[in-house]
Amino acid sequence: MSLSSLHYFILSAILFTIGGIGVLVRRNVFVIFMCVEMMLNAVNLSLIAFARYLNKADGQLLVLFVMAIAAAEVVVGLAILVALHRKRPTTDADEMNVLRG
Amino acid sequence: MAIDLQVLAPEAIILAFVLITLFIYALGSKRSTTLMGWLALAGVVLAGAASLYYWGDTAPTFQGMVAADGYGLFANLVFLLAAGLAILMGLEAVRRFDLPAEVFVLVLIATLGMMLLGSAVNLVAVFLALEILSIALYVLTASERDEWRSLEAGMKYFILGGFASAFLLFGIAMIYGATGTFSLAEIGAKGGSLWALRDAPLLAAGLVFLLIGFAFKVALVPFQMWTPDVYEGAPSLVTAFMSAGAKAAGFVALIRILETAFPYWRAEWGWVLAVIAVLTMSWGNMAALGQRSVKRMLAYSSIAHAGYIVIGLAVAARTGYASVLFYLICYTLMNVGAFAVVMAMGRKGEPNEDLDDYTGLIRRKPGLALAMALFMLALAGIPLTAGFLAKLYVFSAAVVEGYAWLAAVAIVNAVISAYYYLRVAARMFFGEARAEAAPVHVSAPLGFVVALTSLATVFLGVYPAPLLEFIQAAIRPLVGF
Amino acid sequence: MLNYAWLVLIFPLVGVIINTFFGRYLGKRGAGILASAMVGLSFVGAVWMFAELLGLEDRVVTRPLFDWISVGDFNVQVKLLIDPLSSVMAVVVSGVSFLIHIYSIGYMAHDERFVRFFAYLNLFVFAMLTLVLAENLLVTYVGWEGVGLCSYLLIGFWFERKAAADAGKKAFLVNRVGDVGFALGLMMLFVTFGTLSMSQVLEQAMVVRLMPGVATAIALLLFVGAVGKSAQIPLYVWLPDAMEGPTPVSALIHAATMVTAGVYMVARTHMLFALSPTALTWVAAIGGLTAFFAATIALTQHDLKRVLAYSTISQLGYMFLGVGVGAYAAGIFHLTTHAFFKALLFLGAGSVMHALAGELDIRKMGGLRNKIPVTFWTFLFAALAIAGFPGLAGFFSKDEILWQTFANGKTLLWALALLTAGLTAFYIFRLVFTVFYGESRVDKKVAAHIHESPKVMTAPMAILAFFSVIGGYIGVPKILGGSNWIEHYLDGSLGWHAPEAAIAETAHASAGTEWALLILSVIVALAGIGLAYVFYVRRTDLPTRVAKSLGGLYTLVYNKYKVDELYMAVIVKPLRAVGKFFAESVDGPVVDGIAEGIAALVALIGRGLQALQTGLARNYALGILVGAVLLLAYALVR
Repeated sequence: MSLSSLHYFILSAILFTIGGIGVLVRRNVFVIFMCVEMMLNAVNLSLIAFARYLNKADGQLLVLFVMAIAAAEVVVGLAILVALHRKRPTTDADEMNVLRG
Repeated sequence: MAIDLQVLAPEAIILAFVLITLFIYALGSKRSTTLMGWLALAGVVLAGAASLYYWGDTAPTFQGMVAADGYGLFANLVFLLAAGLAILMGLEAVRRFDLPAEVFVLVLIATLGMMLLGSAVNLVAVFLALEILSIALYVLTASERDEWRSLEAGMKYFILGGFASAFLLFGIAMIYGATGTFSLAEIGAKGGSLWALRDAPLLAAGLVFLLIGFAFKVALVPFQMWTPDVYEGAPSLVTAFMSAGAKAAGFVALIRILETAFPYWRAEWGWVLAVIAVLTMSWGNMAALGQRSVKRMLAYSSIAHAGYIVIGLAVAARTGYASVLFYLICYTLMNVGAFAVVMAMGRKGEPNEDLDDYTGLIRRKPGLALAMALFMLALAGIPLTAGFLAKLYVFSAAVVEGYAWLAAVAIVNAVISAYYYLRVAARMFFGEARAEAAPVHVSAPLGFVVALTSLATVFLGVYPAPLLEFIQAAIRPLVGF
Repeated sequence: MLNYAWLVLIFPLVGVIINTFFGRYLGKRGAGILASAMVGLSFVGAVWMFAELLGLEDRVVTRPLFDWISVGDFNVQVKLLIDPLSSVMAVVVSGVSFLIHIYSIGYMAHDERFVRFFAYLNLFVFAMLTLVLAENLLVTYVGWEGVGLCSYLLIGFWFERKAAADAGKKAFLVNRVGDVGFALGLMMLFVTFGTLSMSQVLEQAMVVRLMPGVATAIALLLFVGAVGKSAQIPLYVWLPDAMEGPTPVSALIHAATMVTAGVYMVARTHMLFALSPTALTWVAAIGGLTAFFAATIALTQHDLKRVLAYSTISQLGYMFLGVGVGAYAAGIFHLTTHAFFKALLFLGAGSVMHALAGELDIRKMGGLRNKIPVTFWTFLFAALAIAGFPGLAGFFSKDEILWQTFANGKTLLWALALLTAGLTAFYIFRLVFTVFYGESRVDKKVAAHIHESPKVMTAPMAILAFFSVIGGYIGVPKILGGSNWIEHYLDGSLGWHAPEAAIAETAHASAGTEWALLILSVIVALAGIGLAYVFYVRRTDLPTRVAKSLGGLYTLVYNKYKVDELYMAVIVKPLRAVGKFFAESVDGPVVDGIAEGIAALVALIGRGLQALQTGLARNYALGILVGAVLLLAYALVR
């Protein structure tokens, strides 16, 4: 059996869902970051697969952009986390609930 | 293929000023903060002038990534207005709340993202622009570094923003998979042969995910949950900027995407958006009723207003889009004005956002209280203010396009909203201020913001005709008739 | 200048803006001069417009300013309409207002809220000019409401005094009643003609055959508005109370900016009234009755300004009588001359008050002739003018109305108006004689400080006196060798009559009759003055004896026919009772119950939604996920 772009897409969707569930259930901020990264990379997978299937380069190009942006995003996230950690030494996302109601 | 740099002149100017301000920051002494602020403001003004200068040039460029058409240029003016006002507020905020000088750079970067988003005619550009905008906003939200609420807001915004971005990106990937292109125009051409969502599940799912990404950005139910927390925690100038500029950018891009790439599903997305509009405005208004913090109340109110604006999208017609653009400008003015007052009330470590802090303000700061009352009336949609006409145009577009029920729901909502807006006004006029109430200080730039926005709010409420004509001209390239 | 007609409007508005925002930096003098200068510029513009219009063949000019509202079929273009009628009106309004502004600089010199006062005055003038120059009746309505608002602000200017605050409220509420009529009239007009543009209504009124009664209904509804604004029976009760405002405000309201609006509006929409003889008869009857009724009250009052207030009501009655018999030009002519002498009378009254430390009771005056000579002489000229002394302003305009009424066949109303002319001469000279002649009855303490007002106050009075004397020569009737210029000029705006309009009958009356009537009215006026001389100078015991012999009738008139009490008993109290009934038995349990129930439900949902806002990012993400699933389901199932 040969792999079609549909297989890649399904795999990508599964990875995306796992990442999404991770964001919902995990409490450690680092893990949540990784889950978001996982979602992005899941999309990357299908982008590459589609690009291969369509025989076009622009899909792969977007993947590169996504990787760059993901890196930038993580930097910002970690910076905020460091600042938070200074005020209150925790990495538990559930403790960040002063703002509510 | 030649790249016509001119077309991106406003964006290029902003980018140049990002670099200039960053450079000064790098040299940086404490005094350079104010200089950076004024430079950023100069950049905004120059970019606005450039937008006006290149008005009407419609050629897409950069390999079909962006189009500096009248629509995009007009959108630029809205973003630049929000940015300019935010920078003016920032001039005061860096002193009063000890914000870092980077806020000016970040506001410029976010503005750059908005402008690109408003001009983007390719999904790659849409994604990049949105990320430029979002990442800058995450940092801006958390920029009051010694304030837990600001950091917490930044963290939440960051996590949920990333989450929503992933949806958006997945939507783009699916659309790409279904049509083989990122170009909005080509997607529109390919999809022209379809006649039902069922025929193209991948494309339909892609559209849904794309919508989610934007619904998150502009705070539509049920993707709006982050809004109250982030708006409350962020420094007021950032909240004002986000609620006006980023929301406008989201709507502007959404209109372009839906109208260029998915015109054949107007009925479908129109219906979905209509339902979302009802949910959004009702949710925002009802949750705002019980708020004691004026700032948080304004955050919920901004959700409600997003609901009103979506009506203009849902009717999927020229009149609707025109009314959305008009609404965005009016909302920018009155909302930024309101947040400027909120900021004027606050001091370092004491936000003074509670309703009680506003009691009897008319006797302590009559000018400020009058302006705030005006913004409240305008947000509630009382006649002779911009807010009234904004609502009137959106609602009448709904009636004309056969969505009378939607207009009816919206009017009921407007009535509910009057309660919590007018409560603020009533508190300020009737009632004695607490004895220990802190003195309120309004500096020149902040006073200028309040004065400008209040005058403009009245002006647009009395004489909207020139702006409306401008808007009609702006949406012509988009809708094409 | 016609292309810059908007400047006439803009100047006072600029004054409002500057004085509101920067007034406190200008100081009192600066603010007063600025406000006066703005109205002065407006006046110059109005005169210029007027002059330019004279040189034109077609004297109806419209100048579009901007599109104001455009929702669906409903388009309102803000246009200025400059024609003989509006140009005359603009000149009168801005000119008289200008003089009153200058006078106020002196009169209000010691008031704390000086700057605010001038901002209000400017706003008042702006609103009135908007009303006058508007081409679209909706814009007229905006001006109309603006005038109402300003009157409320200015009458209640000294709101610390309960009487002033109450008077402001009363003016506002009574006017509201009229405004409802006006608004309904406008709606009906829009439904009937599909437009509120004056020129389009005029065009259509000529060709469209209306359902019988429609024109009457529209005209009468508009007239209800005019009755409220111009203080006619039964809505005149606010005007006497409006005396609580500063005296220059009274002058402004009575002469230039407010009460004339009703007359102007009827003349402006005369094409509608011309279509309905019934409505016109109503206008004439109400006008005639009000003229007489108010004049009798004026006979008995002891409050200087109150006499003048009833006099205004009476004179406005004349104007309505004029327009009601189809002599629109005569009505506007009287409006113009009245603006001069009534403004002067009020400014004179203010000057007397100024001299007597605020005293208003004429029983505590007397013998002021030599102590405040400028005030006396100017007041005298104004009194002669209003009394209809031959050759002065009021003579020509009042006589024109009397003559037109007679020629129109309304003999009864003519007789009433003639009698009123006699009463007018009597009550106004009663004032002149009791205030300026005879023994001084002034308090000893006050008497020591009697002084003439400063030049800034007397100069405007002198100018107004000049116009009170010569103002009538713009409308000298043919039989006196004149050409009745104003009537011909105003024909450019008011020349349109429906075929059946009764005005055509004028031609039948002969010149001989006109002469006879003229002499008769001169005799009546002189008789009134003479009688006043006998009563208040020669035989000062007479008034009391007459009052005694009349007994109950005198008391009734003195108490202003107890109309305020009547309204209280017949309208206010029953309404209150009904209101109370609804409040207690219907509103409370039923309406409030429902409303509160809904409010509680909404608040409950709101609290529920707030509970969902847990502050936890993962819950928010769940919201996104749920939304995604729902949307996806819709997209894929559909």
